Amino acid sequence: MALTYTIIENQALTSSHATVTFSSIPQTYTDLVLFASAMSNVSTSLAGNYNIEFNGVTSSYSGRRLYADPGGTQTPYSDTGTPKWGGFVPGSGAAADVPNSCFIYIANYSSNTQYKAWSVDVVVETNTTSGYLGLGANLWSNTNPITSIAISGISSGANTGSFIVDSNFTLYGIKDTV
Amino acid sequence: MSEALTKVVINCTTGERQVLALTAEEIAQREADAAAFAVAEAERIAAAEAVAAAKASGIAKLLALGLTEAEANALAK
Repeated sequence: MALTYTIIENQALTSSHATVTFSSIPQTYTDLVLFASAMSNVSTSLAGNYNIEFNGVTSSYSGRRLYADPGGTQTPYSDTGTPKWGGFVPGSGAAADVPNSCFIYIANYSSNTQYKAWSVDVVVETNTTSGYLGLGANLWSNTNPITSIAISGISSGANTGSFIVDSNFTLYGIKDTV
Repeated sequence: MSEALTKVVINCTTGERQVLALTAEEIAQREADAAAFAVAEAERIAAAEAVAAAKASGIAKLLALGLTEAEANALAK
């Protein structure tokens, strides 16, 4: 149970970056939360997806993503084809001042015996007719403690992009005791 | 001119911030991730279209059997 939230680090971007990495993460908390309020320059009229990656390791990820667009015509769906999924973010076709709001919860990150599960809860406002909501249940099948987290790989179709100025990322440590 | 690809690295122990150029391996991974997203999206769309087509075909066959449109749509849900 999350009894305390402590800000470990915050990063507000003053220039565009393809990747945002939190390194040397203290191993003194129970869980981690990474909150993003971000925008991107990926070429799309909607939003681009991005990945989360731990310790610089690119393998042993799996997950299921649920997606809904209550204002649009697309049927809600789920898929397993995005194993490192960390959320989606408005692209160059969205209103410039509309960020996503993405909450990533990483459980038991410092364990050296268990795999690491994380959930994603993301919403994007486009200021038009749609509101995109995504939920993700993911697993990194690796028992190493998480010491770094990278958010990267924004893409929409084959287009790639970067996080742009004023995107904001905050890493919180969660303790189960006060 | 193409965008210079960089990463910002925040050291959570010291608070130090570094801006670094992406390595060739990181750029390759970025391209691979985009390709994987594109493939996953194409597969999802194809599967959704196949389901929609099968549903439409099923409804047409139910209508041919004499069911009303409301009855056929109810069965196809």
